[in-house]
Amino acid sequence: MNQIILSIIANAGGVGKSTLATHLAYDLAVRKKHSVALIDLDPQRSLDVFCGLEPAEPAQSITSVLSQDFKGEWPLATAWKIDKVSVCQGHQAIEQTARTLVIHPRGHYSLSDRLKKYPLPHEVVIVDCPATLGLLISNALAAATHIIIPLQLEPKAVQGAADVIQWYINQSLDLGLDPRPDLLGFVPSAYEAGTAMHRQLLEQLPVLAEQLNTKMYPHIRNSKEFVNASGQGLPLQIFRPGHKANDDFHEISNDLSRLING
Amino acid sequence: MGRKTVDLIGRFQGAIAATEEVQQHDKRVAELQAEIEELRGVNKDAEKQLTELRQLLSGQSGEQPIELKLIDPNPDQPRQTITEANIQKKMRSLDEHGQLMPIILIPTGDRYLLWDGELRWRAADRLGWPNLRAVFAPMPEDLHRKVLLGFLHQEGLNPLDRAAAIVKEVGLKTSFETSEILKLARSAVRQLERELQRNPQLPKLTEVVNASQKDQEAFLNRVNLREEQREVIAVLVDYQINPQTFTTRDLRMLDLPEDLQQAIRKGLDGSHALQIKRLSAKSLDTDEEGAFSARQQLIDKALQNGLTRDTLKIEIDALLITDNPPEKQQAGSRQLANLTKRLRQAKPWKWESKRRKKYETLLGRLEALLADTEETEE
Ligand SMILES: Nc1ncnc2c1ncn2[C@@H]1O[C@H](COP(=O)(O)OP(=O)(O)OP(=O)(O)O)[C@@H](O)[C@H]1O
Ligand SMILES: [Mg+2]
Repeated sequence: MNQIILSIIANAGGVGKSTLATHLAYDLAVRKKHSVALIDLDPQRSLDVFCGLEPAEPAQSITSVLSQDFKGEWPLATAWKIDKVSVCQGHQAIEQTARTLVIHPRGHYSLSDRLKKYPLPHEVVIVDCPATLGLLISNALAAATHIIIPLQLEPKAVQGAADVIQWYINQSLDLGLDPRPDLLGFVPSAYEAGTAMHRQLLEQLPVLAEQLNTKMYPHIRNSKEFVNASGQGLPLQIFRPGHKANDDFHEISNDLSRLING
Repeated sequence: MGRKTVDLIGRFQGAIAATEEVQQHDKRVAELQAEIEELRGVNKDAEKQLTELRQLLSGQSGEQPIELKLIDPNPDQPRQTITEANIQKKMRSLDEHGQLMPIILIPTGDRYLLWDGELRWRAADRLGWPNLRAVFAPMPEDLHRKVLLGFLHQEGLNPLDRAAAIVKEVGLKTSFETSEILKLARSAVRQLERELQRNPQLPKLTEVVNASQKDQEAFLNRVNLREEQREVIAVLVDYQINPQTFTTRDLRMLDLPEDLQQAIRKGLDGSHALQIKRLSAKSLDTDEEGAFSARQQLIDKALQNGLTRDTLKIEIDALLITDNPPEKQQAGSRQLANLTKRLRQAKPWKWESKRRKKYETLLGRLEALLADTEETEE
């Protein structure tokens, strides 16, 4: 078994990072029978919303993991009453933690160090990141075996994704990541066939993928039900079991499953 | 009403360029790693050095095509056995895929020492390629010493290359000119010989050569050398070169005329070359061209049939005698006739004892000399 640590990175807000994290977690756990840990690095605690969890005390959140006196007791909650899905909840205090990490000699490697010293038993660890590149995302990169980039088909989000690629390459070099985390691919998110801009950009994706020598996953379709599901603290797979959009995550979890099984 | 399309690829130009660059780099590192793995199996010692080199390499990306003929193989090459099958395989791969990764060279003056890529170098040469892409690594301190030591003391190294390498190394370490080095080495050796004669307590030079660096230093502080001489000798003994052999054997190679130097590079024995050197325009009393062709005949003979030292000497002696002009023989015999006459008239028994002793010693020496020559002439 190879443990996969997948960081979901984008340099834009609201592009579907948390949606991807949670729906992938569900699909991997239920359909592919893998154990999954979700880690919320976002001060906005978005995973709490998507997983229907009450806010956690700082001591029961990721901030305790990144603190200097963490002893290996991961604070983990269960999502959607599914045993195979654990969540290390976020907390606003992580912003303060990040500020202290800046001056720590291994500040960029804190999450990586924790995951090495006190490995999680899960087959997949999915790290949900905040929207802007910074120390926290560097931690997610340094800890990752793989990264995946949600790509919303809007000009601003496209620019953000392009920036992420350059940041990922340079940051990996700067951090001396050897090997550099693999770029699993791009995931076009919230695709609307009725929007001309979406169609235009989608047409160009295969060429882009080829030029970047990476994979372009099938798009996640746009559906109001995603918003409705998150309003209930549920993934779409539970909220609307027969929904077509549920299948949009299959190829990613199939690939991950293959990587886990070697 | 078509709106303008957003150029997705255009927005990713920088990202695409960065990706290409880093992936090329990755590929090179992967290949380098594969080679290192391969070497690791062959020689564990090489591992550390190669790691060092790999670091140097990933730091600098300068690649240049280098002519194959400017490349010298590394005598310390960890992969000692390269089979014909290896070469054939590499030739096929070069032919099909081209050169995937640069070879690693260490610049040594105007040539290059091959640090990694001997197989590719040989295969490319067989394929008739003029050059290979190379990256360069500076000579690490101890690596240089190790490589040079191995080089200088390898069996079958021609004495000329050995001499040139030593002089070059002394030049690098001391920054003296070649001519200065020769002078300093010779005068230092004379001085050392005097000191060693005077002081039997001093260790022999052969011992010094094999002593630790500390003991070598101690020795050099005990003997009375000028600072410049000491510097030169220090480098020599550090490389386990006996300064005496260096001046009596190695340096004489550098004085050889060009044709003989070339012959040595083709395989002529060093001592043979020194013998043939006796055939000069002056000794043959001819012009440079005449001397050259006389030497060339013997060089060819020696290279083809492998003349023994003795037969070579006889041939040379014969050339020198028959080619000697009659006037010179006459001049010699006239001098001798003159001398015999005067000796016969001398009355040494009347001389003071010191002078008489000297006279007797000289006579004895003359006798010995004549006996010696008669023997060799027979
Ligand atoms: N495919 C989709 N169709 C419709 N709505 C979607 C889709 N994906 C995400 N959304 C909605 O868009 C909003 C932003 O999504 P999400 O929180 O996953 O993005 P994010 O990148 O994590 O945002 P943030 O930067 O705030 O963390 C949410 O309300 C979510 O429900
Ligand atoms: Mg989010």
